[in-house]
Amino acid sequence: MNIPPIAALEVGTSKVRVVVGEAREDGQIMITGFGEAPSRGIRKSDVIDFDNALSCVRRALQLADQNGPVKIHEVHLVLSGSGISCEKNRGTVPVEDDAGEIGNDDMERCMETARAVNLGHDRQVVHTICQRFYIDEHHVVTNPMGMEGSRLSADTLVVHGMRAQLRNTVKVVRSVPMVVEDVAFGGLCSALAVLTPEEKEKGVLLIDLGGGTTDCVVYAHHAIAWAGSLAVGGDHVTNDVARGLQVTIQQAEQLKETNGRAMADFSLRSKKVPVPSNVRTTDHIVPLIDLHTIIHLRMEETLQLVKESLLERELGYQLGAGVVLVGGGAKLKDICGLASKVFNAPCRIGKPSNVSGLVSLSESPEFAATLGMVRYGFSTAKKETMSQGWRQIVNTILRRRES
Amino acid sequence: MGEVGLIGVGSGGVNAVNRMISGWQDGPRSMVVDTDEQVLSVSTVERALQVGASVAGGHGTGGDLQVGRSAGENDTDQLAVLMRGLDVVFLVTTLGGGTGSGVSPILAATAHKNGAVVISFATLPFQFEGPERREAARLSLRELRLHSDVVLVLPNDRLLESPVEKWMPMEATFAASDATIGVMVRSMWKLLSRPGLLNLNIADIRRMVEKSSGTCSFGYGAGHGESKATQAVRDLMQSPLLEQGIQLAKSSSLLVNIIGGAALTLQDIQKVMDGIREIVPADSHLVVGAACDPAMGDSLAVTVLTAEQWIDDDSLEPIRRGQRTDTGQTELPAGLRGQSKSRSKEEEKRRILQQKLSPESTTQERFKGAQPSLYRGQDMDIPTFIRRGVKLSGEIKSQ
Repeated sequence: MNIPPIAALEVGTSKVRVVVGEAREDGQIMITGFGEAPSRGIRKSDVIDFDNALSCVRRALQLADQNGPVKIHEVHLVLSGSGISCEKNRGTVPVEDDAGEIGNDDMERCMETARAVNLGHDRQVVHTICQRFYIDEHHVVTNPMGMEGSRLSADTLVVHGMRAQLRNTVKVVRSVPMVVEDVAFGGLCSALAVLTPEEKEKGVLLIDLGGGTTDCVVYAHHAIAWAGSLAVGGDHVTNDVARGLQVTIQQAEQLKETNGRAMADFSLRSKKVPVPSNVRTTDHIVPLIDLHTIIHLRMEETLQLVKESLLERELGYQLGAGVVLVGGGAKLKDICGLASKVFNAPCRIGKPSNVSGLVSLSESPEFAATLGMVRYGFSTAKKETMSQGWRQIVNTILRRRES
Repeated sequence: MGEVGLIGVGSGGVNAVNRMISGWQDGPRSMVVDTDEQVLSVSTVERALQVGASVAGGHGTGGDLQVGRSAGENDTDQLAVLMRGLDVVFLVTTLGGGTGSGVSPILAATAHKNGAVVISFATLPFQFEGPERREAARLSLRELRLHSDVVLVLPNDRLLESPVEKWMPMEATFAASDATIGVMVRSMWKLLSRPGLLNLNIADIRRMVEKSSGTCSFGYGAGHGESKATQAVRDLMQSPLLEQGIQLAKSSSLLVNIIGGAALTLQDIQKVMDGIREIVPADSHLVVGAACDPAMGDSLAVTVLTAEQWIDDDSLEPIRRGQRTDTGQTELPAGLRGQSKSRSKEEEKRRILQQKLSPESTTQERFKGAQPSLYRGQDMDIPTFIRRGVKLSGEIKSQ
């Protein structure tokens, strides 16, 4: 089985990233190409300036073309933000076979019913994920094929986002011009890149702390239990710092990166730090404690919002394996401490595993989504070569409506 | 606007709510919370909750802030039950005592946690009530500000400054304080509940107080008959809470709500606004709302909220103007600007602080073009520390 290299593209709020990878026999992903360009024209993961966004995507793809051995013609696109949220649904159908044996047909019909969720006109389905099957209402199975029963049910999670925003992102990429082979939700991609099977079994919350948005995915009992996105991200932190300390956005960004902390350290109460500046002006110094306070309040609030969303869906107590953080925000000092305090659960920084080639990428939590997309691309490509029936069983994306 | 709850906290707050609801038809749901059984037993409101029975033993707190606090903390569950289902909470309290100062911030925090918008109305003690009560009020106000969306403050001392109330007997003075709070609550309720011709809502208020760490001053004026607009403006200028218009003259941001009878004309609104614009600085942020209430007949009422920068200092009052004309009245805006030259040093500092807090234009544009991030009624694009009214050390030093 020979699968060509996969190019994953993420049009993020702060960076546009391209990663080209090949699947190796041992399950490792070999990175062969890589491109990154700072984003313009993107706010909160949405395109607000088409031309600017387009030129940044082109630049990143061009870099990846230069770095890698292959020319990129089609990409797998990572989608973030765009008001992504999810709906749970159960579909039930009678088993048609006289002997009560569940066949391909039954499963297809069952999924069809389970997929039918009533969404607003402005929403677009991104994924339909099968969580589990039930035979005769209460017997839980992961693969009911060939089993016996009179009724078959399926629980699905329909992940959807704002139609216009999703389409605009796709449109930018198509205007490069570039074929969009597949799309997937960023949170889901990150989960594929960094979560271990044990974590998925015990229950885990993955938070992708992006520049414009915060994407989340919850796994429980090996299945995705929730996916969502908040339109609050690192940009907000930077903006808060800029406003609170009276510095420019660039200076705020640098202060955040070099001196930022998610928890205020009161032993540094009287410490001051200089504001980085290109021009030699009079020394502008700011109290470190203020920087920490501003960042702490924003990060705590963001995590608190995620927590409240979980509690609303009664998922708060299923995080046996705790919290995993990825994205640029995961590089913030003490963020793990803050997250474990907010969620009252262990927390770790997610680093992409089983990646070779560019080792530096696998050490960076901000590449989780893009690397995960490469992995996602391979898993769907593999499944495509399998039988139709099998494809529908696996807990993954089954059908994507034309976007 | 959803379910509104009017809640009096502490004996002062309970009394104020009692007075307020008598004769108020179709008002909000009212509740009272106190430690003192006796105070609660005379209340006529829908629901009364006694907190801290185990701490205070059914009596008051004896003015002890700590006792008040632990009373509230012990019964947060009950407070949460009381807040259930409320979308907007009007919290009325008199700061300085034990229960009012101790329980109010806890109640506000609980309500906030339940997703309610909290608008607090707080009186601050008179000067003669002594430093201890003032300190308690100061501490409590600081906390209350953290947990409320908007805090409307009535420093009782300002009542004394009005020439009319100067010679009032003590009881009448306290009653006047209650009555003023009552007017504040009612006009806030009207402002939010009456569908207006020019509509105002919580977001407008919030936007206005954003620069002022959530604290507002309040003014009220009414007029009747032919010259109702002029009368109302004049009445407003005499309002003790706006310090006879001086608060208006230096307000950077204000919200005006006009309620008139069925015959309210645009001309009336125009007149009122002209009158107000004459006094406020030209560059201040001004929001207008207008509503018709047939019950008003030929009267017109003007309510003004101005964002005020309260400085958390020992004197508890917002820093006083250095000088005041002897009449205490505002005559001409030019006269007021003249005054500004002789502003006290403290006031100068206050002005600097306000400048410091005003956002840079570049940062405001950070999220331009993108959808605002609204969650639980809050605009997430506004920095968290500003929404929560957290003071940064750098700002405190610059005082």
